Amino acid sequence: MNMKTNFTKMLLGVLLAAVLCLWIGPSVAADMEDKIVVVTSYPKDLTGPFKKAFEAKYPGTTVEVLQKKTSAAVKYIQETAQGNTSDLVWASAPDAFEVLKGDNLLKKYTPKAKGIPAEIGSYPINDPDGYYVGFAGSGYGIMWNKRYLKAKKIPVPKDWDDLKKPVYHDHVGMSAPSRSGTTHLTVETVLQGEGWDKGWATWKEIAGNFKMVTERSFGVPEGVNSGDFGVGIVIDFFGFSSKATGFPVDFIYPKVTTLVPANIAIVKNAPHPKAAAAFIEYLLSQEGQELLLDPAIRRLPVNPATYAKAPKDFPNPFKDKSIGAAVKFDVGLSKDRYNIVNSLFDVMITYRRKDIAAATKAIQKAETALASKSNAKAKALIKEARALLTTVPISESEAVDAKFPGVFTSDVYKKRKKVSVKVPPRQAEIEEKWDSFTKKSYAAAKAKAEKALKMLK
Amino acid sequence: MLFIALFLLIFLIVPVVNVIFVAFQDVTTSQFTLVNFKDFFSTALFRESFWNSLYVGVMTVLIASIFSMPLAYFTSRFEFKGAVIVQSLGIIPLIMPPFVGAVSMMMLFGRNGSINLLLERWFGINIPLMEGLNGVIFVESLHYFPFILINLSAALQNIDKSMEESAQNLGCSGFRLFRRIVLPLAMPGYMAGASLVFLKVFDDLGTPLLLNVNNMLAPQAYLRIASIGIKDPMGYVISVILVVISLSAMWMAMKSLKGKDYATVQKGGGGLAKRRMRSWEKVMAWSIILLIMTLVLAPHFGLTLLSFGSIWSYSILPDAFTFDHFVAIFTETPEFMTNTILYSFLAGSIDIVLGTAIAYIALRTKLIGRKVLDYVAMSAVAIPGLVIGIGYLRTFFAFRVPWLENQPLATWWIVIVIALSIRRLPYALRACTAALQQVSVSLEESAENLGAGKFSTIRKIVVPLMVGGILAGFVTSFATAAVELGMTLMLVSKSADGPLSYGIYVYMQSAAGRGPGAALGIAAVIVVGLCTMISYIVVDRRQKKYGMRETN
Amino acid sequence: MTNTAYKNGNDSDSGVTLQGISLSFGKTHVLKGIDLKIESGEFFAFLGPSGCGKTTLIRLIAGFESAQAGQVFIGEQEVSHLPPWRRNVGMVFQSYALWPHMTVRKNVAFGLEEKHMPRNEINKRVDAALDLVDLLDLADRRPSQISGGQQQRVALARTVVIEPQVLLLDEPLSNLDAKLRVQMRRELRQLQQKLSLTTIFVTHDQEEANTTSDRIAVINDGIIQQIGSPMDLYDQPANRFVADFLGTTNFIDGRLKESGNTIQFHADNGEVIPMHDILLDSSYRDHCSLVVRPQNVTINTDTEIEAADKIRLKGTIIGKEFLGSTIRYRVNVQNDVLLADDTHHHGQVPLKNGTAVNLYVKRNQVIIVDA
Repeated sequence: MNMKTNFTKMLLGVLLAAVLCLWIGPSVAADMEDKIVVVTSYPKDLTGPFKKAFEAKYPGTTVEVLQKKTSAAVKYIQETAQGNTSDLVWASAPDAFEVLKGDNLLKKYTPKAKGIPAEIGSYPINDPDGYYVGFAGSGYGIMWNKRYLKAKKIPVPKDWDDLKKPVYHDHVGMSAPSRSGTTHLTVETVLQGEGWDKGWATWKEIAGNFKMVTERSFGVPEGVNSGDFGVGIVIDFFGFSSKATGFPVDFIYPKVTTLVPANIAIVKNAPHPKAAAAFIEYLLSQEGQELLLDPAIRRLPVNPATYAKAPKDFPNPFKDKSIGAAVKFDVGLSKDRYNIVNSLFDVMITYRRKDIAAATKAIQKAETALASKSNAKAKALIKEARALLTTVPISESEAVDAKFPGVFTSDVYKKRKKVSVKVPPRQAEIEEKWDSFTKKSYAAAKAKAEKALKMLK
Repeated sequence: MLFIALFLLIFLIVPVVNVIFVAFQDVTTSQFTLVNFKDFFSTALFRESFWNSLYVGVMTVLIASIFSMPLAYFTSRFEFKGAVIVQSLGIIPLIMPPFVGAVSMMMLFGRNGSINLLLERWFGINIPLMEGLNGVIFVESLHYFPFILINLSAALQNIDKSMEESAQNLGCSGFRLFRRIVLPLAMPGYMAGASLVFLKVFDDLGTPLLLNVNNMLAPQAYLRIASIGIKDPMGYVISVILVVISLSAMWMAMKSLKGKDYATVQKGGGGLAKRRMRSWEKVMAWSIILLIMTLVLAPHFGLTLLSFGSIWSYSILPDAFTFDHFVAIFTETPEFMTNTILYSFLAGSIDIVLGTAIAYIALRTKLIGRKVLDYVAMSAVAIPGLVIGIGYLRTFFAFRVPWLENQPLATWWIVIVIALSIRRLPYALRACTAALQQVSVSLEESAENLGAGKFSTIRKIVVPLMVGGILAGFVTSFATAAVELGMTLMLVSKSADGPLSYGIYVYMQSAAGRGPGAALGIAAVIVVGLCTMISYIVVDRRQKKYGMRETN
Repeated sequence: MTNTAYKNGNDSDSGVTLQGISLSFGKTHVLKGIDLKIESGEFFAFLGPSGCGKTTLIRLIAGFESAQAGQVFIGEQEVSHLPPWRRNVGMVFQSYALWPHMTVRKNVAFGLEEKHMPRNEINKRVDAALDLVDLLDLADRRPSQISGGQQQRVALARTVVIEPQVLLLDEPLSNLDAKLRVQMRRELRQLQQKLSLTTIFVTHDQEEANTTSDRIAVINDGIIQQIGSPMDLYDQPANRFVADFLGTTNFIDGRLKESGNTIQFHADNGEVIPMHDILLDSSYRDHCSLVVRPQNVTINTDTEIEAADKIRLKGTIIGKEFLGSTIRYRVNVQNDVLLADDTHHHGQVPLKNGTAVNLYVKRNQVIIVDA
């Protein structure tokens, strides 16, 4: 089949000049279109089996897969809106779908499949407005390399708080939420579960132990798999599929996590709407749901009946209510501060990883020294240092996109109608303010911790 | 001429100008502004990225020079049996995409890679070779040093033996001789290579991306542009800065070369005086070569292990070996390989046609603007692939292709081919220009004198005599097109259209995909290596046939 | 232009002696047992066709080649095993080998800098050397910015400035045009005399060698054929190669026979020519050539003079070349073609082809060489 497509390509190339003058009309529309174009953030391991099974079920329809990172996929749909060629968006992060929905780029679709409950964990499976459909559940958690931890004599982490401990310093990896929709959800979940200030403090204390903030969400399981660092904060299926592939790794859901559905939606003005709908229905069918149990895929099916066929150690959120039930995830809140949370994380952690790691190391040293020797002054200094380390440049109430009108959401290519409209500050300007604030705090935290350490010696 | 000019205008100038335009536009008012650049330089992160990129560029040139200098020196200065090895060292790294090398280098030299695990076990030490910028510098200098090696060797070989002998005759010898005579004379060649390395490193996206180094300019531009919601113009500003720095690096190199064409070979001369090595020198030379060869082959070795290894995690070698990954790529995604061959072939063909035409116009005609044409085509070398990718998306999305269900031009696979050919045109053009320069004008004049028209002279005399150079141009275009990532990542609109580099990148994004990704990488190395070798053989044979053994 | 600075002088012996030099590159024997003594202050030329080994010989003296056998002496000192930079031998290369990245001044100063001379002394000497070759005003140009003749002089200045014991010139004039070549060779000779520098000059051009040199060694096939002053070589060539290589020559092949007290040359074409004052060298008596230069052949149409000191040959004109001052006739003598030069005077009508002529050669102007 591939030889054939390439032969066609070859012909096209050779006949390019001739073809330029020709106009070939669209092929006669059949009952079901001959292809669908799926924009997805999923790896080949996931898309491959579905593509194969769907094409087998609907001969004559080809599934064209366009693999992009979630953020890039959203960008792609936005950019190509005027000449849309995509039928489906298929990705994990509900936020991404919220963004597309907000830009009016999705088409409503109500699935016909039966037997699927309304919620997974505490999260509604389908978009209440009916724009996107959940087909599998995913939660966020901690993944670790067993060989690595054993060699370095590091205990297995059980919850987010474990990762703050000095023993994990320089052993943890995570991807930047601005680059990975799934990671954004993890960050947002903790912020919602623990509250703005405490949540950020948790993240920054964990971040002090980071070895790496990767640009791609897969960078984290990759690092854990190869043993570049020992512990990674990842979405469950990365952990499950790595484990299933045979890597010496394991995965755990921390208490504060949320199960969110992975989604699929039909793009507005999709060129192949019938085939697109058929694809969604196939995903939700018993057959499609079972494909999720494939070792290389390992996502939590949304149809509880499917778990009957799952392997023994496979978590079942419909039975085990401890998974993802602790936090009631507020999609609206998440959406309202989406860009600000990402930007803050980047400014405070991603791009200042070295500074935060150095400050954290200093504090950890001072605290270790304090444990064997008591000194009230030093204790106070360390407390101040921690406070400086975990401080956030803006409060929760400030952290809403609406407070920065047009800064994080303005479209460069949207022409301003009237010159008299007030020009908002530029994103780069605001980020620069945050950055200098952060840099100063880290430096001060480090200085105080070092001073405390001196006192304790 | 008009056709070529139009081609360059549409596919090179317009997209780049488009990107530049956005960078100078106010976000909301879309009026001309410099405020975006002010923002760039007042943001600590961007300043840091800027200096990091410069630092990595300069350091890579430095390290690459350290690799190249002894190799070039051994082969040009001594009768040395290892010359063949040195020559192949000049090709081996280039046939592997650097970002693929980065992955396998991580497994070998990373913090918990094979080498460090061994070192830790034996000596309790850990060499942070792959940490942050170091890793980028290490991977890039191993990948790009051949550019310096090739240029430096050629320069050394072009130094007439009498240059050195006359200095000896005047009492100069040893290292002083090298420093005072040989090095300055080889400088132009070295500069040409060094500036090229700087350009490539400065623009490279794949390597920092796969090594998770984000505080450099190219990754920042990519991330800015590919992120959700953040639609600030910074990505475009960075693109402009990349272009400006690259162009000025090229301009500086050109300026420093001006009037210093030291090709000094006289009749009866030829190359530095070669002498035999003493035995201790031989030992030294071989150990240096073996060391460099080990490093050069390390990415290939690592990739081979990855492609045959089952699970490789926090261990010196993979747990077991298997053929599964190769089976997987041949059964699941043969299109990556066939696409690569097709795209590279088409891009290479476009390049040699354009290259020959531009070379001919620039050297043999008096058409107005011929120099400009030449410069514009050459300037493509300084335009980062990323910028071309972004520019293409910007420019060609509005244009619908009627025979493809009215899809935008930017999503058509032909666009990838055109972008590849634009990116690689400078290489082909340089080869074609060199080849044409070797064809004496009198050969053409005698053909015209015997009644052949311009066109049939070109067809029957010029092109056949240029064939060696043209083929060499084709090979470089072909080989390098196959490993391009930055631009491909931007332009591939569906997986079935993806070339190898895209396929590797996609595979590498899943736990089970690392093996097949590596297998695909091996396939890339083999495809490119094989094509390069075949073409070299063909070129060599032709040159022997015509008795044109003048190229070094 | 008094340049006492360059009076290398003959106070020290700077002659060059080569003893039993043999050298081969792989299987090719380039020099086969060269013995030679060049006197101090002499202008000596190595003359021979390309590939004869003359350049190898000069490079050997400079130290760029090493012989498998034999020794090289400069003065009393054996230098065979010294590297080039310890020999104090100045060489001017055929290509001049001026370094393109240095100015004229830098090029000339190079050798002195290598001797770690004080800067002001270097400047003084460079100025003097550039003055010597009349290039002081071009000192700050680069080699690519001056003409070929000027480059040649820079190369010369660069070499003599270090006051070498011996000056080696490797075809120094071959890259110049004809007129400049004549001028430069005169300048070379004057310079050499001014400096009294032992000079060895390699050339394939006999005119260059003749006009400049005190003595010439004619080299062919790695062997010195003959050594002598230019006139000796011309008038008394030791063998056929030397006779043929220097100037235009008529060869009449034959053999020598004793006839009573006299020796006769029996030409292969049938002529029998009695010879005077000839030593009968047994090695080639049965296979030798009679050599006579065209200008020593007198051509005559009418009178038949019978003179004891002259040889007479009968022939027919078959062609002629007009050379300006002379007309060179090609005369068929018993199916051999001899060349005879006749002085051309204004208005003189040349002889027609087919004219029967008598050729006269003075007996003391012929010599016999091996065939």
